[in-house]
Amino acid sequence: MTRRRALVVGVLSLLVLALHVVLVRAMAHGHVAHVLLGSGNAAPPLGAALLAVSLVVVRLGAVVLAPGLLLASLASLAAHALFGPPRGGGAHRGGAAEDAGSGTSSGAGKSSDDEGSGGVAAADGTGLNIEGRAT
Amino acid sequence: MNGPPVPARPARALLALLAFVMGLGTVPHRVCERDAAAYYDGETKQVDALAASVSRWTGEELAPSAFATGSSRFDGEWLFGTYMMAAMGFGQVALASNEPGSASESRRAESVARMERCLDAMLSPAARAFDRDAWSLDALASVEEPAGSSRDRGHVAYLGYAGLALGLHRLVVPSSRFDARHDAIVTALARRFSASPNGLVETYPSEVYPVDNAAALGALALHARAKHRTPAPGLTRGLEAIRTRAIALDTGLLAQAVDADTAAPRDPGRGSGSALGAYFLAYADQAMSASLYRAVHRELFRTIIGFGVVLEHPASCDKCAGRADIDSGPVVFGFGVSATGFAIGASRANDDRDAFASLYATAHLFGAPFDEAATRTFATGGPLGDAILFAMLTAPRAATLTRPS
Repeated sequence: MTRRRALVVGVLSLLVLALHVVLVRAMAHGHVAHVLLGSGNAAPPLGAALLAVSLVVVRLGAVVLAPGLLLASLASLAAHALFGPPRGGGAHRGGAAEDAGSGTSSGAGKSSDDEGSGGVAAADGTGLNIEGRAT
Repeated sequence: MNGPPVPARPARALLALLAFVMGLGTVPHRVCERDAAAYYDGETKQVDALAASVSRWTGEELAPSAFATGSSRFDGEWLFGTYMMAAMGFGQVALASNEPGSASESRRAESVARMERCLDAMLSPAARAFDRDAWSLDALASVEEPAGSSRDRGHVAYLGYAGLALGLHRLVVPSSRFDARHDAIVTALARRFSASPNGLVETYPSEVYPVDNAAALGALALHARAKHRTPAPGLTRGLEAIRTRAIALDTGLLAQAVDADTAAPRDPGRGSGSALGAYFLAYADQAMSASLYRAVHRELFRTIIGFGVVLEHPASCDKCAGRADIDSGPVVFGFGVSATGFAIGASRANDDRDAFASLYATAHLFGAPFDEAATRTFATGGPLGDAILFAMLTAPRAATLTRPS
């Protein structure tokens, strides 16, 4: 999940939670359950039926799905904060540039240059240092 | 030095998925069951909020037309059921308000007043109409029929449920204006259990439902307990008939209906009847209530991401799958709304805290409780739903009911 998507999911989850509070209040104050029960085999009033269906859907979203979605978006945001943008996958524009950036900024190349070991291509600075001393 | 390895996109997606699954499996049911402990322990504030809401419903003039199921019989049953279940809830609260002190006494007095209002409504001609229409004879008139006459039979749903609520009232208020009516109802029920060829009494002509008989047996036991007398022989006979004829040998579940002549079960046992039967039998026979509850738990109880649900039909019954009727309420993926709701009361009566909590979580999720001004109403429940949940959430422990007084 990209950072932007994680933020969108988080905000949507919070919106669903807020909508849920409003719908429960509306349903309780409108005695909607009583109205639906009273309609029996006839079609229930459209407003009451829509409210009831909306409540069930939004409540399932708010209570069952929202906590997991919020955790997932938090996990994605934490991964982004700790490790930076994701590498690989190719679907994300700018991903290649991010990958190159992380490679060049690693300390391996720098340390090998400083030691003057002459090793160039290897990424493992520590290994190069040991080899240098041995020669 | 190297920085930390950067996780690839699939690894991050997996991390997000794991976080979602963790959230799904751990948070929702805990959020929904957060009030369960308060109800299980009978905490005053929580219980009184629901009681206030039920009092508001039952203080209004409800009519059979408020419950338009499409059948006048079921409309009447629901009207009667609303008052009866509300009366049970108020009676159970009064029974639990037994601590010394003015607060407890005031709570008890308020509960009794609310209960009596429900008893009056439950005994009204409007609430008796469904039974009268089926029998062409009023249930309360039938108890005055001479013993052994052709009209001295049946009416076990109306008389059993009414007798149970009146018995609970008498346990709390040993002497009241309801006594004569209560005595007459219980005497007639005891007589009919004794006279029945198979030990069970009809709900409607040629229709026998064991769960209604369980309520009537609870009524006989409560009457004896309230009057400090030995139970009538009809109680033993009825309990034996339930045990030998209505409880399936293989599953231990209570049949919803039995044949009126042979008492042969017409189904392999169902969740709604078994769970409600376990609640009613807590008033009559602790061992049988426990056995029935264990069967419900073993055969029908499931948890889905921590939410407790009860199947309406045993998994072994292929032809029953998905069947729903007025007793079961809606059946979704095999799980019954009534079965799950009634199992809350059965689990509390039989001291199963974990099952109670998970079942309450489901009621909380789909009931959508709404708190306002010290009241709690379940937004999707309406008067009947609130009354049933009130009775189930305050069900007394069977061990405290059936011990010798």
